[in-house]
Amino acid sequence: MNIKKIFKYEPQHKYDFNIQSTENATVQDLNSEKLDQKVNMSLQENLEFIQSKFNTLISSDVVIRKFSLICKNQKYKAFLFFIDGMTDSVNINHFVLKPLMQRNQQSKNKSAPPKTRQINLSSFANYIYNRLIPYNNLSQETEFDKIISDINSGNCVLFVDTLNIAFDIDAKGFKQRSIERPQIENVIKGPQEAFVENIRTNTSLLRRLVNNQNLIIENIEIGELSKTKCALCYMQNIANGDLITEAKFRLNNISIDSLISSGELEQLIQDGPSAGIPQILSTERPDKCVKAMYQGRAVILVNGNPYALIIPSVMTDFLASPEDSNLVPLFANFLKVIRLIALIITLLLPGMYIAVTNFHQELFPTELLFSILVARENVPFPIIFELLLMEVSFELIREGGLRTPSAIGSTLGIVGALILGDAAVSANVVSPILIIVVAITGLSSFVIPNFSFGFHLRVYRFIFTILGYICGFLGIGIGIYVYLATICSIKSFGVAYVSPISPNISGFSLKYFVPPFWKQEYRNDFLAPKKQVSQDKYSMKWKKNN
Amino acid sequence: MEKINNKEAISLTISCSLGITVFISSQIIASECLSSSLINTGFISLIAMGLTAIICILYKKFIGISFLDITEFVGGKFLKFIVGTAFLFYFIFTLAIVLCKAVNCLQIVYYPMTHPNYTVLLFVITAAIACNLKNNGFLRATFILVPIVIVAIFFIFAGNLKNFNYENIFPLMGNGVKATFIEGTTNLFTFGGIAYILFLPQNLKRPDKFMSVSLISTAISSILLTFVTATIILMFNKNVTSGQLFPLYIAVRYIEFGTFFQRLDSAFLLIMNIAICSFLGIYSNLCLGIIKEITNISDIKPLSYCFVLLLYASTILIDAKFELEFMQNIFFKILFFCVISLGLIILILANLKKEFQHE
Repeated sequence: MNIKKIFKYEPQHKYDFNIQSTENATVQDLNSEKLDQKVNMSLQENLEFIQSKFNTLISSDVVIRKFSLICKNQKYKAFLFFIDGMTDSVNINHFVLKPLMQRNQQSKNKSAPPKTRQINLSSFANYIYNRLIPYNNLSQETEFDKIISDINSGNCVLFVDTLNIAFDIDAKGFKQRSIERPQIENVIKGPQEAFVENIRTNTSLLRRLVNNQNLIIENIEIGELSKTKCALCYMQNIANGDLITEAKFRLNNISIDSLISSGELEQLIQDGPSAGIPQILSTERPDKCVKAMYQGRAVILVNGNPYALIIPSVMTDFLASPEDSNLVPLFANFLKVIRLIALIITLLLPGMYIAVTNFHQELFPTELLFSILVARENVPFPIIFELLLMEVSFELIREGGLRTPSAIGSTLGIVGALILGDAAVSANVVSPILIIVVAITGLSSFVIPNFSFGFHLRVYRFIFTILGYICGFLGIGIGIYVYLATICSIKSFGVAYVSPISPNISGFSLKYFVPPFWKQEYRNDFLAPKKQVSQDKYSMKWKKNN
Repeated sequence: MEKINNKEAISLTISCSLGITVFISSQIIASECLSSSLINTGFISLIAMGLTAIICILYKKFIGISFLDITEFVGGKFLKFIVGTAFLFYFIFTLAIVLCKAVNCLQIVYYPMTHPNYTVLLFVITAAIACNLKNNGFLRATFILVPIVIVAIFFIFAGNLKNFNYENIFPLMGNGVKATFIEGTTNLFTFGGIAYILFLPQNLKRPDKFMSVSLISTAISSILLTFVTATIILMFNKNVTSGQLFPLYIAVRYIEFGTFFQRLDSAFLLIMNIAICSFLGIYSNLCLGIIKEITNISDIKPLSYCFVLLLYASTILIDAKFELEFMQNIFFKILFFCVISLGLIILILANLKKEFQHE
């Protein structure tokens, strides 16, 4: 040890890294992202500009292919700009580079047939467009904003010296997931196709199922930086005009840097925060979207996300399964009743249990009450602690099962449910009846078809449990009213969330239950569609004619 | 407030009467008229229908116009303020007395260790939430909840059929003709919905249906009153009907529903709690609407907290300082007749003024 250092003062050199506030810089950067610059006639300038925008010195996947283009016996410098991995290299080689780099014979060949000669050769750009690039999806662009956005989405762009336009070639060729079975919304009898990440594949799925020229698919870009492609899809002759205008207004007035998922978009376009209650239906099933569009709703697709958003959505939609329309109405409605019971159990059972055991013991027959009391005799904790302990444990098991690899996930569930529950009862930490209550509640929560809706029930369940603990049925009654009034106050794109139950506009509204398909003569009137009637009064004409 | 459709308007008006019927008036009718309660119920129902019809006829020349605007038309802004305040007082009093009665009953049955002020506070917080919800949330909730409460009332009646003592309706005239038909007229206060009807037309999507909406809601309220009174009168004698608990609750305790649920009174309590919340939501929003009209405040929502504090103070004041029996049996009735008479006078004057203007 250096003795001198003991008596010598030296200021400490701390490594202190702080991210500086970049409020102003962010604003400037955002503004500078709006590229007003147009394509220049000088190739060098264009090259420098685009190189600076794509940081080619750092980015390894950006490809700039410089070459000479021979046209009308003249040599022009040119370059192709694309991102490796997002384009189809074979197509670029065969249908872009090859025709461009070959010596143009046709310009020399005076004996060419007259039809070919009709092409306006005076325009160099048109000549390249019409003669040199044999590609089906090709456009001429002048704005760098559009060019850069297209390059980012997998296009290849050709710049030619002396031309103040660029050729935007749709040479996308990135790897993507193929259409697979739905992961969450499984059905037994219905279609087995689900959306994928690619927006164009998804729109093609919709187009194929709708099979009608009135399907409109409007593209909207969201995100100053990400410029995520979104598609608003609707049936022009059915969907309410105001609904579509409102959807476009909301989608076009989102000021964010990036949009990655439909979940983010859902938060950005919903009417209000609404205490965690989902307002927009999210689905991975094209058939569900098509059905919604035929009812007069609109569908929003987000590129890079295999989920579509259906607007407007009402509460009954979140309790409907895609299977419902494939089943005989009797069975479908039976399942709907089961779901309704599951909803009530998920939301209220723990709260009710705690209210009954703490305040309203007279509700149970004496024998049952005795058995509950006997079961709880050796449990040292208050019932609220027991219940919250088990509920939180259940949530832990569920979350743990989701986050672990699928091979272990199921095992974790079994281990958690059986061993932990059994051990807890054996150790007198909780009573057996409570395990039953928590298990039934947990099972019921799985019956809710929509994940977001089920999630909100899980959260609200804790509120009802606390209300039941504080003041029994009085608290639960107040809770039910507030919850119901809150739900009733929500609107999804101008439609009351509890429609068609309340407000009950007219007699022919489709209510919670599914009528037979032949009886579904009218579309939901709360959607105010352009076409109210969806089928003839006698849809089964074969029956009537005979 | 957004415009409401006919069915919603009917449910609102029923709910307004239902709170008073279940918690206050049915017991008063049963204890005052004894065996002639059902006759009295029928009699006041007829009067209520007539009164409703008269209001609707008087409203015919003012379709879709608010009652307070009609008052302003009759006597200017000052009269509008006075009449508005009178109705406001009546509605706040109704809220306070129903709340007071319900809370007292809850305290006796389930929460003997809890001071009623805390229970009132819970309900008042609920009212504040209901006042601050957007898009007529309270109204749509009422539309869903009212049928459940109605079914509960029918269920109590049907469940107790075997417990009924049909001799209780004899002698038919109970305490006499005077008690049934003259003094019994005061029981008209059970139709609190009539006062609400005065403020309904401007909120209706189809004001032309005002008459049918009003008559249907009064008719349904009458039927419900009949069922509630019948349940009480056929089951209990005078000692029970004049007690502190509301007898409908006691009637539920007699229902035997298999072996699983031993006693259903807790379940009834749950439904009645929801009914009180619904009642609170409607009246609170109505009161805020009146305050908005008489003060011309553009945004009434922030004032809702002051209003619920006023409601809280009124309820605990009635509970602590006044004799509940006197307040509900005498003052409430007088107040009802005052506001209804005031309403009728205003409408008659407005009609006369309009006639003179035409001439």
